[in-house]
Amino acid sequence: MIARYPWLERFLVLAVQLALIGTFLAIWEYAAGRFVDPTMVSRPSKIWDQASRWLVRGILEKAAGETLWIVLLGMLGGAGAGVVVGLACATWRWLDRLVEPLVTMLFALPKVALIPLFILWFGVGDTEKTTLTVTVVFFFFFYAARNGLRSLPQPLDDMMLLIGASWSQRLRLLYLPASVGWLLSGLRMALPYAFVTVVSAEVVSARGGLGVLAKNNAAAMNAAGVFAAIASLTLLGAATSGLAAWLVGRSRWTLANR
Amino acid sequence: MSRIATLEKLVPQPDAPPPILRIESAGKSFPGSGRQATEALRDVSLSVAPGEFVSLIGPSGCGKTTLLNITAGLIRPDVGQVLFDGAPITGPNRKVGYLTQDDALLPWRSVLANVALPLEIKGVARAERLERARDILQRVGLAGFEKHQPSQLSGGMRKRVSLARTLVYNPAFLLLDEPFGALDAQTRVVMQRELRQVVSAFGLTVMLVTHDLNEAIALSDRILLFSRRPARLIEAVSVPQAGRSDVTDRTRADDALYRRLWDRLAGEIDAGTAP
Repeated sequence: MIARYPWLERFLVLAVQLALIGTFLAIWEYAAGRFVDPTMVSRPSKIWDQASRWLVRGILEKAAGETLWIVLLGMLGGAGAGVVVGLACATWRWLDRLVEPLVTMLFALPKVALIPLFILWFGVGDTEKTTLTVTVVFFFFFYAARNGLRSLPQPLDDMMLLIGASWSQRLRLLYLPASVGWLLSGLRMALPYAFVTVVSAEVVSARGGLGVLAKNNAAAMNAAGVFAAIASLTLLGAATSGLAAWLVGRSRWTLANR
Repeated sequence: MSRIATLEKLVPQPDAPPPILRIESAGKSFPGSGRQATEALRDVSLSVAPGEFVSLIGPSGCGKTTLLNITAGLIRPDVGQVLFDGAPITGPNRKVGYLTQDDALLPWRSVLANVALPLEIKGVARAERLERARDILQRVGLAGFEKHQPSQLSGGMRKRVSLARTLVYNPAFLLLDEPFGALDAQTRVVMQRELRQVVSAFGLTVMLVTHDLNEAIALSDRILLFSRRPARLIEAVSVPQAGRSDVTDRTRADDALYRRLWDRLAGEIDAGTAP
């Protein structure tokens, strides 16, 4: 019955999800002060109060802007470096044999462990956070570009060679357009990790950003502030991931869907 | 001794023009799994005269495609010499058009942009290359489909787009690797007709790899039969009815030729599958 009306099914799923969230918030609101210590868990109404006061004073916007800015810089730097090295590895087999095992080894390294090192090198600030994010984002785009190009059907490359395409023409007319689908899925996977990295760096040591907001309010025993910062991060992450997913869905530039 | 005899049989008559393609004692092995290399070609010599339509037949996977790839300059033989238009092939051979079973269309480009691609590579101005692409699309019966995406076309139409793209830069020599293998039987006959028309209109020389003996007989001037891997040339026959008016025309001589080719081929296939 329901299966015949896809929109009805979608509506019901959404309604149940909203009801679940609402129930959770209501229980939280009721339990805080009765069964649980409100200095630890605060309560939804207080968190909302805190967030709206911050919004009026521009504190939340500024912190979110600082976090987003580093995420953006890190994504750009990591994507640029990852795509260049990934395409190079897919093009030259000898380079791939040399570089790929090293990249895979470094991929396993928890990048957060680099925070003290980067603070030592660059001091606390944008350079340190951006560099850290680049080292995280790099891997996603490296693998996306490399595997995207390597999975390109051989007849397409042969065809380009036979019609006399130079390397740069093949890059522009074949490799990059064929990789767009892969790169977009790389973007979608890298984005949440970029957020994790920036906020981790902020929590360890930084002057601004949502991570700093959460950390400082925790230090001041203001649970409502901590939750307001966390909620903002959740919404920000969901919004950017949604945007990336929408881009991927829109893309007809994949070889797979022909 | 026997190789010299084969060579003499294959070299064109004295009054014929010099061959456009000449392969001499070519051999090729590919690194296989483990230590063993796969030998694809052994001591193959052949030549193709300008304007000739030659078909290569042999058991599946015997190395015929390797010969086309060598002619296209995509791979080099380990031994032997390959002369195209009198000069050795050193890199991708831009004087040939290559049509394979895979139509190799770029899915993000329209039909027109796909056909114009070789001219774009050559640096032909936009207006001229689109004009030429439109012209050639009309000649393969695809006028009105310029703005379609490849995914919107049937297999036969995509094959035509692929053919149009191959013809748009005026190659003199066409390499066809089972170009119609993936098409249904009726579409295949339509495409064979079209191919013959195009070949005579453009004065093309053709080397066709096919598994379909009837296709080879209906289209070619000459048929070269190869052994199982490693491919050696075991027989070269001229088709008595070469230049028939239609691909569906068939004579008794064709039936006899079919039987003779099939007997030789079956011998090779049996020998290949015997324990």
